[in-house]
Amino acid sequence: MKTDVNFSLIHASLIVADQLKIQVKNSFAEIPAANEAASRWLAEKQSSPAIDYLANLAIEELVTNCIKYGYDDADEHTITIELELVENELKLTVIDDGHRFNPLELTPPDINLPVEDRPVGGLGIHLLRKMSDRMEYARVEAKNHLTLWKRGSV
Amino acid sequence: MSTKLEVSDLQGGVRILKLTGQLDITGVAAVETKFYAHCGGDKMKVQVDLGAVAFLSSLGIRMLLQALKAVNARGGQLQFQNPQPAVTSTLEISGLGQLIVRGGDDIVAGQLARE
Repeated sequence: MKTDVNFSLIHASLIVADQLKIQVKNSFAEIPAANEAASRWLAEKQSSPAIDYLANLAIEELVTNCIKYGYDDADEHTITIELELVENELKLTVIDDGHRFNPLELTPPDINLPVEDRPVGGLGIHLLRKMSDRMEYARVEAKNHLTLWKRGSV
Repeated sequence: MSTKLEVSDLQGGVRILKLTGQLDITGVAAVETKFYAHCGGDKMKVQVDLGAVAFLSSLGIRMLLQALKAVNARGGQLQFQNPQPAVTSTLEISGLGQLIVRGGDDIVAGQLARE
C-alpha cells in the first residue's frame, strides 16, 4: 500500500468535452489528488460550490469504501471515477472490479440514538444519499458501478 | 490547505479547539491524535470551532463523534461552533445538528461555562 501523496499517482486522467475520467490505484494516498483533479475540472466549468463539495465527498467516501471493503486480495486494482456535467447536473460514477457490493442495500444508520450508543462509522453512504438527488447501483461486466446525480446552479 | 488545530483555554474552564482546513482523509490523519488528547480529562467543556473548516467527510464526523463520546462519558460537554453552511448540513444529516452553536468565543464559552 503506497503511503505518499503525489498527483503523479493518478495514472490516467482524460477530459472529453464535459466529461472527466480519473483512474486511481486502490491506495488511500491517491484520494487527495483525485479530488484535486475533480475540483480543478469543476472550477473550469464554473460549477457551484455545492457540486464541488458533493463531488469531493463522493470520491472520498466511495473510493475509501472500495479500498477498505471491495477486494478479497492484496493485488493492485484500478478504480475509475467518471464525472459528467449536463445542463448543470453532475453525474458522478465510481467503477471498481471488487466483489459484488451494493451499498444502497445497507440499512441506514440510526442517527437518533443517544450519543453513547451510536457507532462512530457507517455514515459515508448515508451522507451521499442525503446530499445527492439520487443514487443508483449496477453490476456490469464484473464491475460495480455506483452513480449519483446532483443538480446545482453555475 | 493543510489542516491545523489550535488550542486555547478560556476563563470558566472552557477549552476552544479551533480547526482550520479540511476534515477529510488527509486532514483527519494530521490532527486526530492531538485533537483526542485535548478532549481528555474529567468534566471538560469543549468548544470545537469549525468556522474555518471547509470540508467534512465521514472520517471527520467519526473524529468529532469519537471525541463527543469521550467527553460525555467523563461528565463533560462538547459543542460545535460556527460551522460553514455545507459543514452545517453535514453535521445535521449526521444527527449532530443539535450541538451547533453560533457566536463569538466569549459569548459561546460563557453559555457553556454556566451550564
